[in-house]
Amino acid sequence: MGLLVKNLSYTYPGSKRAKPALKNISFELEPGELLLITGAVGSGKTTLIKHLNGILRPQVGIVKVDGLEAGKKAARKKVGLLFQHSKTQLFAKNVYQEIAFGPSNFGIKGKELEFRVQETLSLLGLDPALLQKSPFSLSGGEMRKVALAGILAQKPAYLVLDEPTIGLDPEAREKFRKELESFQNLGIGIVVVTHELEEFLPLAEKILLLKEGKLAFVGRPETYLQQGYFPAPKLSEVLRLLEQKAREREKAKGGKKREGKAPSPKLKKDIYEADKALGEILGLAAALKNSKNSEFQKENPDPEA
Amino acid sequence: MIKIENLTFRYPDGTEALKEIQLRIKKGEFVALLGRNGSGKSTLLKHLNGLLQPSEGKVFVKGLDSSDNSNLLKIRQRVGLVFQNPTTQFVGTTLEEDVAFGPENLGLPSAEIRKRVDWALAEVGLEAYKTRAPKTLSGGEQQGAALASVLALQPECLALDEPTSMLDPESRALFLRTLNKLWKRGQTLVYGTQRLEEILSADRVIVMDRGKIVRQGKPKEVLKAANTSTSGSEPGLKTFGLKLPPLIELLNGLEAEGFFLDWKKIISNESLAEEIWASLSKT
Amino acid sequence: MQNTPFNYLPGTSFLHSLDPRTKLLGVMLFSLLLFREEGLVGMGGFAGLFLLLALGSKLRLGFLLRSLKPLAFFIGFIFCMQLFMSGDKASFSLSSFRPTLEGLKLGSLLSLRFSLLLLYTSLLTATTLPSQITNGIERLLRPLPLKIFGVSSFELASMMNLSIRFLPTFLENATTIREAQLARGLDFKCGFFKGATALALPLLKKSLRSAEEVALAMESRCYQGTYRTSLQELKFQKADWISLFLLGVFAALTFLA
Repeated sequence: MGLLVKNLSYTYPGSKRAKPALKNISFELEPGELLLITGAVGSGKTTLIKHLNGILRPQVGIVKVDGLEAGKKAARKKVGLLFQHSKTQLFAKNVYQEIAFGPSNFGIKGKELEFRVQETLSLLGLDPALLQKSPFSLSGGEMRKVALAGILAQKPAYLVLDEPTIGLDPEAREKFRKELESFQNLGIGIVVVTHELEEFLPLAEKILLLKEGKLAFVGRPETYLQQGYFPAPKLSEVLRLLEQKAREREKAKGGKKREGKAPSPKLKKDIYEADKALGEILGLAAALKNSKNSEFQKENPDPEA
Repeated sequence: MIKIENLTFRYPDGTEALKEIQLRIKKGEFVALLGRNGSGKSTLLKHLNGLLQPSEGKVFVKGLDSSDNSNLLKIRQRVGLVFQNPTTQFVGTTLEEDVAFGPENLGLPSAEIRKRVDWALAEVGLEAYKTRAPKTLSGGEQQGAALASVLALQPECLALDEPTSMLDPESRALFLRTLNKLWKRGQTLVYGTQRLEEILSADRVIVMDRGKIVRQGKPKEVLKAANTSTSGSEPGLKTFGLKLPPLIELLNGLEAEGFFLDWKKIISNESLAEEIWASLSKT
Repeated sequence: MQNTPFNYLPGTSFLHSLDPRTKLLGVMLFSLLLFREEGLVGMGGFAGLFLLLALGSKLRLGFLLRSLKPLAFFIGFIFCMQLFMSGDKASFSLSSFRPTLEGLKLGSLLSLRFSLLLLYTSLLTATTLPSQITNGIERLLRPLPLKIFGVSSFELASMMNLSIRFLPTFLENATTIREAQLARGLDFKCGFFKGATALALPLLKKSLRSAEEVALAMESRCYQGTYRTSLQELKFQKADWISLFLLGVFAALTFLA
């Protein structure tokens, strides 16, 4: 069980310089896990996810969905993929037909189909009254939900989302994160391609960083933050810069090692949360004070330490 | 530079998008316009360059009334509008053609056009790409092109409607740095966004909701309102669909602890770290 | 070809330096003359002239010949059609399907004519930026009374430029939409009509929405559809006048011959 990618390499045909879009990528995803895929523009993120549901076939290496080759029909049924700006894929006469499109193509019909559509609606908190309406008469947020419903109704074992929150306002983003958590609870394995690490890092079990088609990191978010990779949540980035400055100052002062450990970011998932970062930065301030004349410290205890 | 009096705007189907807006924007000011989708932000920005005209009330750009169609050409040379989508602003077959589009529309002689194009491209750092076709440019580069093509008209004021929302973090940071550079040189900026961390260095922050201005003031004042709905006598920004990002919570928290930070200097992660460091070092 | 639109190849040759109007008029003239030409010898002459011009463009012959590739099958088809079907046309028996000398002559003539049309055009597109081509077309059309059709030469040129600009984007969108629908099982049991709607409707909607946004951007940058200048204002040089003169002489000779 699980998504398995091993030694995946791919070069787009006709690419003049024959630069591989992906080189030797390997990772795994268990059901119920959430994996983030991140990296600079053009690093190969979209190419990678297109291999997960069989749109692209690997030239080297394998991609397996629950033991089946990703290109096979049975595997494609298991992977629900939603691209950026998902509301552009809507086309049906009414919301019912829109949501039913995917599952009906995969062989679901009759009562089962009806049931699935209703089920997905309630999962996403959509009003059943919308079923008869044209998908184009809905608000932007509702349209996105309908697009997502269309994929969920396929009952995929794995959900792959490409920048799902682009253009959404903060409230909608928060709601979406809660939805993702509910999907995880259903046992769906989720892959999210994103630049917005602040939003998704708390939910992720794994993070994968692509750099020019190569795997720069895959592992737990804590390790990712610890090793200082970019992109990173804003506050983690700021903390890292501050730490760097503290180190530089230490060096300038003669390189004497401070007493005790240099404050390191508490590597919980919520490091980007203000109060935690605040605590860290104050800890840093205290450490700075401590590095000054310690006698001075004894006489004037730091009120914040 | 821009004077808006009692502006009310209704779409042809009757929905009211703006209600009795009063606003004045001074030359050289950096005004941030905050609001969720549907708050009227975009609608207001489109009035600044005459794309939309008031149903009631008036919009004056350097004294020119936007309701008078004969003024529109002049107004659009005073106020340049940059939109959200990088691709649909790129109309030329190559980058320099795209930046030349505006000056060409004004019927300027080609030597002048050439000068403006080269200057604008240098401002955004894209001179090397001037003969590239749009499909070879990234979203961030295309948005830089959009900015350059508006700059080529030499407007005194730049109005921007969520210009970074479709960009990746690196391109976003670059775009903001460019804007900051332009503002320091005297450009008036009216910047619409939902990302609160982008407008810390603004002179003034305006919050919109349901077509009205609901908050106005300096960033430290407006962005202090807590996330929850119980912060003193005023409802928090959350009721307007805006979220204070952790970054601003941190800044507010540091201020509460007695670390003074100059928000005007904060335009990037690096400058934020600098500011915090400078403040910490004073302890 | 990666960095430049269509199959334009930047260069400093004689042909590159000519005003696009000269080249446009040249292509139009040659097309006209090619259609008038009925003799293989004359056609060979045109082919020779093409080779001469290709030399003047400093472009590799192989590159220019590649423009025939998309229509190679069609050209071959025309040739074979003429070769085998120029027999006795009155009877439709199988015996009339045989290669004849007449057929060979006609086949060569027609396929050469068609190929040369493409080749002369490729000389134009390889040495002239698309925006310059539209610039040239606009200047040529400007003196005409297009107002009676309710359109100006500037608007036509803008339309052409926008089409050139957005064609790759349009194709990209089509691919993206196709992939999105594939993820929903488009290629499984979906009916033809539904499948076609799933591809066409989103594409149409997206294109229309994009068009609206483009219009707003253009308006914001003072587009009016009336008189506008150009980054590269066209001006006939000495080389152009000489070329036009030579073209004129050539045309006159061909008509008299």
